[in-house]
Amino acid sequence: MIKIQYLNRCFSLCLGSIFIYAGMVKAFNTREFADTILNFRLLNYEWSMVAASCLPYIEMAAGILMFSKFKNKAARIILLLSILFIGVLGLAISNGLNMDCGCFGRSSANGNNLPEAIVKNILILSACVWILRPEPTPDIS
Amino acid sequence: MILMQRTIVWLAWPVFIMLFAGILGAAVNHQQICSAFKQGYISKPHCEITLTKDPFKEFVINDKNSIFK
Repeated sequence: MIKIQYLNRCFSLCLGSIFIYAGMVKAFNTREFADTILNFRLLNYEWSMVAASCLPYIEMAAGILMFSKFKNKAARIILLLSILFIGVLGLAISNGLNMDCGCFGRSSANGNNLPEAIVKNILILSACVWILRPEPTPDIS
Repeated sequence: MILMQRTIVWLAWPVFIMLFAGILGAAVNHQQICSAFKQGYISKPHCEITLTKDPFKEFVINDKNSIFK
């Protein structure tokens, strides 16, 4: 039971750090992130700017909440976000796009890392499901 | 029905936080958003909404059929 608690804490710390870092990198380079969103060809220029302005702050809020006692609620936000990201990345792959996902700002490699990003998001999703799993009820008998 | 209610309750809190954080982000970057909507391009550093003409005055002057002539 204690090990499970440690695992929970470890997952929440990792997810929190990842989301705070990802949010901060994007919040400091809003224009660059807007360009990345535009490359996905799902939004026009204006709405990609709106998304680029809002998304980093949502990620940072979720990351910060992961360090508080509201980590269950933060895990729900991250779960929703990762489902959204997996959907968007899947659409980009199905449209034959070959680009950098921009998950942690624009990487220096500028290669195609969309499949890699989907795998990372599935791992994040699994960690969220682990945190959100129902608590085992104590056996009374 | 109960499942739907539970789902809505389950989602309410995260959606509220996402809205709050999203509005905060939009407020912080409102100048860039404004210029993107106004210019269709982000190169302008800020957005200014100014009326160069007074539409009512323009209407009165240009209206050839105006009874006030």
